[in-house]
Amino acid sequence: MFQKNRENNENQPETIIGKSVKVEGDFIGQGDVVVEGVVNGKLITDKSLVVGQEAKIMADVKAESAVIAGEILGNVKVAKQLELKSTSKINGDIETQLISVETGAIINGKCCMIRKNNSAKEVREV
Amino acid sequence: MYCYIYDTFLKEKKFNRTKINIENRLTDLGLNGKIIQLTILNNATELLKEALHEDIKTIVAVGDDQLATKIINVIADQRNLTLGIIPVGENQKIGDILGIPKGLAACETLSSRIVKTINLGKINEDYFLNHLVLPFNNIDINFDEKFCVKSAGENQILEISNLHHDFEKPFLEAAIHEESSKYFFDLFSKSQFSLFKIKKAVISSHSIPVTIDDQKVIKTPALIEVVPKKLNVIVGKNRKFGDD
Repeated sequence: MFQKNRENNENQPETIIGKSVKVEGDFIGQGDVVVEGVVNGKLITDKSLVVGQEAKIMADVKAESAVIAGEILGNVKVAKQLELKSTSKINGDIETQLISVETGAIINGKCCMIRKNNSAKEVREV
Repeated sequence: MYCYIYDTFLKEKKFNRTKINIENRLTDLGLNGKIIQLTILNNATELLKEALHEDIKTIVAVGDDQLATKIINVIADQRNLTLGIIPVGENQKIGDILGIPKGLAACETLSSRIVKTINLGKINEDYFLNHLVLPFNNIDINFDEKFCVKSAGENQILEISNLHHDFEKPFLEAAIHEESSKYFFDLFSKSQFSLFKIKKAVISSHSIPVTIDDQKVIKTPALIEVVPKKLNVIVGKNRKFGDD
């Protein structure tokens, strides 16, 4: 379970917030995060974030990359790529380098694209 | 000098041959030392404390996980002591993770003396090597003084593990899952499962029973934290963590 599974575990998320759990406060992680439950506060990770279809985040979110299928009530800042699934609902501003939006996704806020070298920001309102 | 603590159940006749074989092998390897046989009448903690006044550097638990965790709580705060294990009997998860074979073969592991300094978990005044388990319904728990986690389901348990897949790093793994599922075998397979890496947890609710290493039960409130590099332990080549 330990060393033998280490290769498998290297790809597993560091944090999982399951459906049956509610997190309140400032969550700051350093690995991949999966949210299936409720988060109320702040959610920051320097790796990837996956928000499940039934998840609800009432917080500002910051991640290196993100795949969102649930609801976020707050601003979303993603350093690299943001993918919004058809069931996603963002009530807040988005700031990211690359964005992919599936048909059906809802965005109520500004969308700001960051250039690679961060020397200038090109603001495109959606 | 070595001190061997024999578990209570080793007094049974069926273990006589095992004890003789182990003692002979230890003598052959030059590892003979003081032997303390625990009984229902004597107290392991008191006997160990007496033994520590002598020039003993290695305490060896000859028995099961329950004895190992009892000894850990006595020697964890002592400097320059090393724990060894000769697994005999059932309940040998600790020996398995440390790579120590059962019975006579464990003597070779003792002789090779590969010593690692491992992390321990601590809950109030008790140390734990493996894990804590408590019911996770209607309790207030704060992780790392930063965020609270509350239950939104039923029949859940919280398991805080010191022995996890990244054992050499100083953190505890807090897993919340349904009471009927087994953490290690259902890992990541159900959406009701939650997992956090933490260094500290505070349970402020009162009178929640917490089972420590599957033996001792205490009641909350409790402060739980990881204690890095706390215990020297003799390990085997097939241990489930770390590289040589």
